[in-house]
Amino acid sequence: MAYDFASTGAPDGKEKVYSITELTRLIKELLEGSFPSVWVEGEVSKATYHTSGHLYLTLKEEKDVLDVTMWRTSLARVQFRVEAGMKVVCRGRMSNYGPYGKYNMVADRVEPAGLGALQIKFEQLKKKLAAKGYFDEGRKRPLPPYPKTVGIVTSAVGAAFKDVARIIRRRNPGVKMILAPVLVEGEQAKHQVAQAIDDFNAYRHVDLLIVGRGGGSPESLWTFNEEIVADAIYRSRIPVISAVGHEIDFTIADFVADLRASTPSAAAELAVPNAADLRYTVEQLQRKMYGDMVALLREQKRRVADIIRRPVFTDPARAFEPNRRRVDECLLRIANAANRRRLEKAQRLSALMKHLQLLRPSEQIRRKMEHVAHLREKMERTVLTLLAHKKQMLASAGGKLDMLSPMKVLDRGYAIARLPDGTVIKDAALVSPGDPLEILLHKGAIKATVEKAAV
Amino acid sequence: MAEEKIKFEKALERLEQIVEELEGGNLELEKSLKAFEEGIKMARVCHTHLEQAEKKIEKLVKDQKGNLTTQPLDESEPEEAGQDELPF
Repeated sequence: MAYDFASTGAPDGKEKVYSITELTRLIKELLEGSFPSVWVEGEVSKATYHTSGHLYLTLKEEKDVLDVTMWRTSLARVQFRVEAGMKVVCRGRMSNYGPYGKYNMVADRVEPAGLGALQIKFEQLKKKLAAKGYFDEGRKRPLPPYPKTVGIVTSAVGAAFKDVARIIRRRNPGVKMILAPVLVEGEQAKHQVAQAIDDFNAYRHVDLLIVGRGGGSPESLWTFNEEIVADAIYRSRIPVISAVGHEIDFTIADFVADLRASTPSAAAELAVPNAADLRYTVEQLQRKMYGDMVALLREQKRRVADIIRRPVFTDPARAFEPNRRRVDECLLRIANAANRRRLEKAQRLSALMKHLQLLRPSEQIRRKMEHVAHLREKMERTVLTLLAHKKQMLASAGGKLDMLSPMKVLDRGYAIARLPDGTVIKDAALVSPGDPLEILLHKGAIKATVEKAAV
Repeated sequence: MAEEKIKFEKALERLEQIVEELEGGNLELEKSLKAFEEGIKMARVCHTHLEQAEKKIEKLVKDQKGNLTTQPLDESEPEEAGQDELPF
C-alpha cells in the first residue's frame, strides 16, 4: 500500500491536518501492511520477563535499537531463556503502540542466532537423507585393510592435515598420501570439498579417502552438514572416513561416510594399520612356518630311521622264517590228508568184501537149512510142552471126577434111595406106601418098602 | 605372479594359510616343502611392502587441460611463508 501524503490535501487547498489518532492509525496500517512477517537478528541489550507472562526485549545493533514484544502464548514455545548479551533471531510483524508513540515488533518466535536456524536445517537434511537411504548400514563399505594410497580432503594449512600426515607417516611411512587442499569454511568450502571428493574418484588411484577438518564452532563445521557434500560422499566409489571436529561433533558427513572417526587423528589411526604390528605379525608367521617345517622334517627323518631299524633290513633272512614254517605246515597237512584217505578206502573195501561173502549161494542154502532146523526144533519143543500141559490138565480133571462120584458121598454116610428101576428118589411125593426101595450105602444095599411118604 | 605385483593383503593371507596347512601336518613332504618355499616368498613380499621407503606427500591438481594429476606437496610451505597455523 503506497500513501501519497502530498495528495491528501484539504478541499480548501490548505494542507490536511491529521489528528494524532488518525496518523497513528495510518502508520499502523502502513507498518503492519508492509511487514506482516519478518526475521530480524540482533543482540539483546535488555530482556524483561513481565509478571503478566509477556517478554519485552530491546535489541540493538551499533546505534539502532528495536523493541520486541513477545506475548505469553508465543513465549510458551521458546525453549530457552533470553538474556542480555545474547544474539537472537526474532520473527514477527511490525507494529506501533499509540501510547508510547513508538514502533516495535510483535514476535512469535525467538531463537539463538545462527545455531537455532542451522539446527533446524540440520535436522531437516538429516531426515531427508535418511529417507533417501544415505545412512543405511547396508551400504557402508568395509575399509581396505592395507591401503597403499590415502586421499585427504581438508585444508592444507590446518592442524587436521598435519595430524593425519604425522600419524600415517609414523604408522606406515610406505603409505602414500595425496592431499586435495580445500577451504573448509566459508561460502566456497562446500563446493570445494564436494569437488575434491569427485576429483579423487575421477583420479582413481587412491584406496581410501579421509574427509574432514579440525575442531571449531558449530557454524565453522557447517560445510560438512551441506547436502552437496553429503551427495559427494554418497556417490564416492572410494570408501570415505569422515573426520570432522572433536569427539562430540556429529555432522551429516559422519552419517553418510563409511566410517566416522571422532577426530582427524583417529581417522589416520583407523585408516592405516601400524607397520610395526604388521611386521611383527609377519615375523610370527615366519617363525611358526620354520618351526613347523623343522618339526615336519624331523618327523620324516625319524620315520625313515624307524623303518631302517626294522628286522627286515637288519636280518633279512628272518623275514622268510614265517614262510618256511608255513610251507612245512602245508606239506604236513598234505601228507596227513593222503594217509587219511587211504585208510578210509581200506575200511570201505573190507566192508564190501563182507557183504559179498553173504551173497554167495551155498551160504544162502546153509542159512536156509539152519533156519529149517531151527524151526523144527522150535516145533518139537512146542508139541512136548503142549503134551505135558494136557497130561497135567488130565490129572487134575481125574481128581475132580473122583470127588464128584456118588460113591464118595456114600463114603461120608449119605445114602441113595432108588426105585427098582434105578430111579433115584429125590422127592417123597414120587413114592407111595408099599413101594419097594433099594437103599444104597457105602458098603452094600438095603431092600426096603415105603411105609409112609411124608411130604 | 611376479613378487612385486602381489598385494600385501594377499601375501599376508597366503602366509597365514600356509602356516595353517603346515600346522595341520596333513601335507605330503613334497607339498610341505613347496608350501614352505611359497611361504618364504610371501613373507619376503610382506617385508618388501612394509619396508618401503617413506613416500612423499602429494597434492591433487588439475592441469590446464583439466586432467587430474599429482605433484609433490611442499610440507614446509606454510611455516616458511610465516603463516599462522589455523586451528582447524
